[in-house]
Amino acid sequence: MALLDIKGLSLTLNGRRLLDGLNLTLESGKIVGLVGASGSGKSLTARSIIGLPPKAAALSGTILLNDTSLLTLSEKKLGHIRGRDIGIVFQDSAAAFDPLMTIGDHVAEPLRWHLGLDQKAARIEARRVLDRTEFPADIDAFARYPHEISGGQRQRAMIAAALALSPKLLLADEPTTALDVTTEASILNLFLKLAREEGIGILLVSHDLPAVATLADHIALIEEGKIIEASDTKNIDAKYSPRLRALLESAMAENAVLEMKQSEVILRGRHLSFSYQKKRALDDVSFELRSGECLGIVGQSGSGKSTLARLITGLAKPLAGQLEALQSLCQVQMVFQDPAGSLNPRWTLGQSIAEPLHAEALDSAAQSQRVTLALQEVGLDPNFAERYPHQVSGGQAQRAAIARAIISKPDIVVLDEPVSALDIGVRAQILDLLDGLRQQHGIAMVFITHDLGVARRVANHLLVMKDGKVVEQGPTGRVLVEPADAYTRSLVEASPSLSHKVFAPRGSEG
Amino acid sequence: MIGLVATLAVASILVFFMLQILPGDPAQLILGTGARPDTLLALRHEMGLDQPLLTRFFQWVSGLLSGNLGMSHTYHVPVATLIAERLPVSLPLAIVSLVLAVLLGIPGGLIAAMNKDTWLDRAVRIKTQLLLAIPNFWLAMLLVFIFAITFHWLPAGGFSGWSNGWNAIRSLILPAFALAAPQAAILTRVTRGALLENLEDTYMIAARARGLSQNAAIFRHALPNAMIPVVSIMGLQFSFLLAGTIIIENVFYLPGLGRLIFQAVNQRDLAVVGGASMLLIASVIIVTFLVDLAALAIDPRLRRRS
Amino acid sequence: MCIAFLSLMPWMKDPTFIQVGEKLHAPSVDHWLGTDQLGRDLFGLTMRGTVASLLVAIAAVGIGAGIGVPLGLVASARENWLSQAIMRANDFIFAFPALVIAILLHDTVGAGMLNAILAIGIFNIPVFARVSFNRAQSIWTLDFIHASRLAGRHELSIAIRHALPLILGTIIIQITIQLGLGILAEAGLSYVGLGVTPPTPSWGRMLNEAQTFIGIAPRMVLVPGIAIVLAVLGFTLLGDALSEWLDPRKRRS
Repeated sequence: MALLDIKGLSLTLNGRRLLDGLNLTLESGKIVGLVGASGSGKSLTARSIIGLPPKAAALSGTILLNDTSLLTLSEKKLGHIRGRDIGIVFQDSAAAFDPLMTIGDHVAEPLRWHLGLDQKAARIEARRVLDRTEFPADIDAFARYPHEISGGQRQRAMIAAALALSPKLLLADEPTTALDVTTEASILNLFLKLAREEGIGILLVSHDLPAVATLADHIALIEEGKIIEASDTKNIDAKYSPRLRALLESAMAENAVLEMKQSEVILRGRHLSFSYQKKRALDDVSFELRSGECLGIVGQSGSGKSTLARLITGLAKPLAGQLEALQSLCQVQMVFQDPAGSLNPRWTLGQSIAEPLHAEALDSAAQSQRVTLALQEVGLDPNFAERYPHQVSGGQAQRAAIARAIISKPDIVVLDEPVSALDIGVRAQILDLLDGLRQQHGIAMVFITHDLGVARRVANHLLVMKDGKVVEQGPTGRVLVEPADAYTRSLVEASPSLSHKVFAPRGSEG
Repeated sequence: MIGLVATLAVASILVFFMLQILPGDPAQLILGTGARPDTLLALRHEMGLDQPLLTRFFQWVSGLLSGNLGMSHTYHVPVATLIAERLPVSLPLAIVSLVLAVLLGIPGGLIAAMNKDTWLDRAVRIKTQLLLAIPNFWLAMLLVFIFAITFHWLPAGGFSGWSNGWNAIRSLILPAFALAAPQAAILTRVTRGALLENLEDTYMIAARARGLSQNAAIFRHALPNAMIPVVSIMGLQFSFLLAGTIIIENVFYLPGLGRLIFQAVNQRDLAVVGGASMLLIASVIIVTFLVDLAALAIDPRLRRRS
Repeated sequence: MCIAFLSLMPWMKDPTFIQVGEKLHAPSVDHWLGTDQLGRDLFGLTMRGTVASLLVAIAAVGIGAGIGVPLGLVASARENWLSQAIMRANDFIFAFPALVIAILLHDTVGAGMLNAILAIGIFNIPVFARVSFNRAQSIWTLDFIHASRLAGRHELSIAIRHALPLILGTIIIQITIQLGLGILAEAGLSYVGLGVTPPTPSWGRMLNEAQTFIGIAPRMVLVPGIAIVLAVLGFTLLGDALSEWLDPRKRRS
């Protein structure tokens, strides 16, 4: 008998059908990955199971939890099930905690509410649950507030709050998206342990197919509210699951790393240092950038990679060291992570794209001609110039941001995590586009990313950063295949899209 | 703390500047243009105006610090004594109306938010908008017309002193309500808005997912978070409350600070105007400071930065 | 619908301003709402009161927004001593209620419309500075501002071309709110004799004079009060309508 059995689940909100006859089963002790692009309905599925869909939503179909039909339960009975039989973990751990309540009291809350424990007993029990989720023992959870601990620690605490009453079913809604690779790997390991050792059934909702593929027993691909493919993770067959197979391959694609012929150096940083709010953000960093090359800067958040990007663009000045441009007029442009935030919502795409031209004093005809040209180069129709950011998709907005970066024919373009906010399919297209632009125009690129898989696809040369220092640099192929530094090795091992175990049959331990 | 003292110091300079220097010669102002030169000279000497500006300023500030606010030239009584006589009317009035505003305002916002888009919510919102559009002194007149003139339940004005306990309270009821009504409306509006914003937050869904009922989640999580903006608005509203107290005292002929200030303004009693204004400003500054402390106590996110 | 309230007020200016022996008359064909203690037409007086009220409110809000918005914008652009100084001064002025400013300025400016305009206007400066500061501060950290710097624009040009249009909606809504509050404040100041002086009709002044006659002719209290409430409500409703119209989430769908 299945732990969770969903049949024909549909959800209609304001006349739009967001879930459409969805079927899904989950056994105790197993992990099912529900994978899809943003807006595909994967989070709505999780919210529907726990009985907290958006207010005006109309649900139909059946959701059986151990043969109890959840959709027909009264609100009061659902309250008994939530927290006791089903736990849920959310993506954004910063938002999912009440900022005025300590971490420990969050974990203790379901114990007090469901079991009626007094504060002292609940706190003792909560500490035990925190230990189960490997929450650091040296942190006094009852004195710390959510903003005072790291994202990974918060995520562990949220899992603890979800597991406080040992539910049989755990829903994890993008639980690692906001985390660094190494933290992500340890959280995913925790899920595996909970499933195998405690027999908890886990529904893992994610857009990150490679991460899910390393962990889940089954994968279901959701698109427009329907499960379009479902497969055992061990053998994702090209015949029965062509979409899953293709997506996985595109995420893993092993581009032959281009060996660059030696071109001349156009930018050289020597012993750069920078401090932010009295903390050293960059410490004695040196590098060279050659024309037509793509320099990948990898590292986790807080490693100083974005600070280095700001120095290269000139938006910030180094505290010590020099940045030498070896051409008299070296122009730098930038592409940002969040395409929505990098375009003024009140301006048309055309106005934004033309902004770097304002110093050239062109007449409007010449200007719109340049904009049309730039739009074509990034693969957008010229009529996109008239549209506003909210009228286009994330991928199209990012193309427009790239058009703005190349319109003034810069020597260097700095790209700060340009694809990490995009869905997998779109991601590949944008990376191809950047590669094409670089080769065609010989623009040097500085590509900042936390994702080694992405870095491998685009960068010729890698700079690995940790705590403001460069720990290793060299040609991409060499750095990723034979990392010389222990830290680089741990990054490579923690990257799902680089690991080779995905396609290999897994052992009996999972 | 240092900021508080500095702010008070700057405020005292500004008040001195606006009252003693901007209008020209205070003695001339008091006696009018037709005054005889020798009376003018005598008054100048009496008020200490013949001394250098800096000396006058330091005399004023050291007076402020030691509680000596100077002499009123109309009453020939120390200003401090005058103010001390009037405070037992103004202070209770301000405090009672603040408490009334909180008791009426916050539950109103809670009820409206919990019943969003129902007739109850709409009724509360219409009432709120109406109260915000009504000048409190006009509301006071209407209350006088209804409860004093038509039904004779409460006195229309005047104050018989605290020795006459029950009558004193009776004469403060209408003014307190007139003052509290618009304040309560603002608190209702802010409470409702903050609550509705918090109801959408992920931590509310997370709390529901732990099994809490909607009402339990509101009282444990949304309401404490909504109090953050409410407390800061209460701080900002305090200066309106003070200004309101001054005006309302005129409607009810209450012998408080407000009446004192307006008589002093009309009689160009600069010592009284300066001392009373300084008191009002200082209380706003101190209340702002206390509200910041309260915010620090409520919100752990603010605590760490400082 | 809400603007109807508003437009009715200023356009129907009725210059009836006569002093006759017919005092305290009840409403009639000649005097729609009756006369006051000096035999002036209550309806005409109330209509004329609109002028003083609106004039003071508009001029004061003009001072507040004209000085406050640029200050807030400048302070939001960079975090340095200038922005610190501006916001400190701002919080400081906020400690002076409009009424206290009016009292302090009384001896310099004298009672009258100018006193009311200055007092309410000075009080409005920190309000607008604070609102534009808060709104603009989050804009300056957005990526398109960085992109604009890389495109070679200087700060002033970014402030005018990017930041100002984005905060304009918020400012306009704040203006309607402050106009409503301005009318209330003007009425309060005139009521206590610090604002508009006797020959000029003003709602606050009328209420002050009517107070004595509240037992005999309650309509003298009612009429100007209702005029104030309608004018303030007009601005509030206008602000609500504007904020709904400017909210991109509601407009997009």
